Amino acid sequence: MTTAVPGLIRPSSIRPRVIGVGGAVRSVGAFLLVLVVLAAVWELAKAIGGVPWRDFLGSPIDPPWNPPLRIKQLNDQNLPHVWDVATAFFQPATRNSPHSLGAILIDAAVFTGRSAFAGFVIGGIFGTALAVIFVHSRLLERALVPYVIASQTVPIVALAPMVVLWIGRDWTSVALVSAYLTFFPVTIAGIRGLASPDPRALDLMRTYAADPWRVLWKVRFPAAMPYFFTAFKIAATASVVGAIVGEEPTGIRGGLGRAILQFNEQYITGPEKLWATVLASAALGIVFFGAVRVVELVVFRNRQAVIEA
Amino acid sequence: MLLAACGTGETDTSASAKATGSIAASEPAASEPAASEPTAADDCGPEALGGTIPVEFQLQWVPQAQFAGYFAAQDLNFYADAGLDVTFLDGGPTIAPQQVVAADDGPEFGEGWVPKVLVAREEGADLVNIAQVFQRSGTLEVSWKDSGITEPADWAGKKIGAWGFGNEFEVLAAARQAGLEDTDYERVTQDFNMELLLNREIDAAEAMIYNELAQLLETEDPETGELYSLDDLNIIDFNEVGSAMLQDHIMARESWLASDTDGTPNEQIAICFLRASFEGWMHCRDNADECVDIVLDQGTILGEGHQHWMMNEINALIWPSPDGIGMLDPDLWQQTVDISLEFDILTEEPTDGAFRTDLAEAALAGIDGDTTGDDFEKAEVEVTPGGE
Repeated sequence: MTTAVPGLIRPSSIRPRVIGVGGAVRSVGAFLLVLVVLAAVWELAKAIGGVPWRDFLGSPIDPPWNPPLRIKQLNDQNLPHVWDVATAFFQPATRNSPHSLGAILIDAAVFTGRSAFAGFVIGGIFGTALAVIFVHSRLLERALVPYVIASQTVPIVALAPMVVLWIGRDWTSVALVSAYLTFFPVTIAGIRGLASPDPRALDLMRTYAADPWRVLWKVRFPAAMPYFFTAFKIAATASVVGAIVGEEPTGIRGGLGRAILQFNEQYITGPEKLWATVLASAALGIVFFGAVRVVELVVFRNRQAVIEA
Repeated sequence: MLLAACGTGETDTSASAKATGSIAASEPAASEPAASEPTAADDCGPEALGGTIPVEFQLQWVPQAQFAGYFAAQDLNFYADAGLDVTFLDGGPTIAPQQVVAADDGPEFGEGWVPKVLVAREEGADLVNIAQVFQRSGTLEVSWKDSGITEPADWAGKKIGAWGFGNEFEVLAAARQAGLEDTDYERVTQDFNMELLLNREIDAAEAMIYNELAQLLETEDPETGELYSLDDLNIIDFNEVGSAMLQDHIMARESWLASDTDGTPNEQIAICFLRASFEGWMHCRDNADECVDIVLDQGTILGEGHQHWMMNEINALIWPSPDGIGMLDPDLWQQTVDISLEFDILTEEPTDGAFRTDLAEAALAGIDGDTTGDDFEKAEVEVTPGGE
């Protein structure tokens, strides 16, 4: 990769930027600001159209606040208070449980993350291989790309139980369901990226009598890297979704899929737990995305420009 | 007849087929010499089975007190003592136990509702009900007291909630029995929760006595901050209405039962599995709190209060079992079949052999202790907010 023919990355329409510490701090700050604004809007809506507040900061008045309107969508079942969701992480998952909900969700996220990572790796390798094949064979590309696209129109919830029947009821099924969602963006972006080098660069390689493998390694892959990393970031979040969906028909215990199922059952009496689980799932997706981003920065450390996500 | 066959290691399938599907089979075979009557000590256990035999058991749902007896049998080594190494397979929304068990290499045993398994059987699955564990239906129709609904006839003109996926027929049959046409009330398909009733978007909601009813009682009325109570509710019990259908039972494949595992007849394995399972349920009847703890060990996010409620209600669905736990009530079987036929769940009567009672009977024969629970009475379980 370091021997890449220089000047082959096409100028991007996105402004190239090198991310520094200051930029990272600003990113996190902006993220938190949006979170606070969202929470404020959420609570304002509940203050207007929710149900009477209770047990609010030990208020002696009962209820401390009685919203003027009653809007079903804003009641405590559909939209629990943000502080109820936030404190749910630190409270025992159930009465007498030695573990806080947060600790249980971290365990579940690690469990699901393992399958998701395996799915991401499998899907990434498979997706890249397909892209390489398609770039070298227009015939195969024309013949197979419609199937690749069709594969993604099949709802994963319909497919996951079948995968379980074929593969068995363990984490490999979960990883495969996850891989099924991850290979697609890699293939599509890979086809584009591997075909992206300047035609003059390809001509130059031809004058060197370079064989297709050399062209692939020295010209096509380096040029395709920004495309691949964009796809990897999409695939990273998709792998988490795939793993969660895949956990359900396998009946696997211990992951976020099972937590979602069980807290969904308990939603009427404890909606904040399901919300907390949703947040944990989202956090896992962000961690995966961030990990790809870090790898991207490392891979591109010698290039002048890093294309912003 | 069957036991003798098992004892000699030969399984006469034609003989056992004759002994199935009819209630006559539940009569003890008078011609059987008493000497062949097995005892727990000599026909189950690692020695009798020629080693510990691994079997899988497909549950209907994720671990909860609905399956407490099986978890107890595992935890207290009843299965191990019977010579079995049981692996539980959890269920879930997209896992149909009858489909999983019907597969040739599927789990040896499964747990399911009778009508759904009969549908699978009609479609060609060779599933057979080997033990009817729940003697009663746990399905209710719940409404707010102020709605004035006390019997199915009151549903006329009302919005009546019923589940989908084959869980709704007790409700629909109750309406027909009350003389209501299907158009006399508005049927609303409910999710598996009580939200529509809580928001008063429907007048009555289908609820399992061990789950959704408890959830209602574990919920605070947002206007008062108090838990809802049974005094707020009218409850229609389909066991009393007469539209109850048989629910949780243990199934196995006929083809599996007719073969053997390393020389041990699978019917004998089934007997041992049932015996240990029954002992688990008997233990949970007499030690409900201990069984709740066993269930809670299966999952870190189960609400303790909710499981206490469920354990108590599940016990009441099993006990008393007049003919012994696992013995099928032929009248309720027929009622289940009749309703299934009326609603085109089934197109014809189930074929012979859809259930057999001989295995449960043989399992019971080896149990010392109270297998009927005639004196069982439901305990008072206090609900906890959020079921925690």
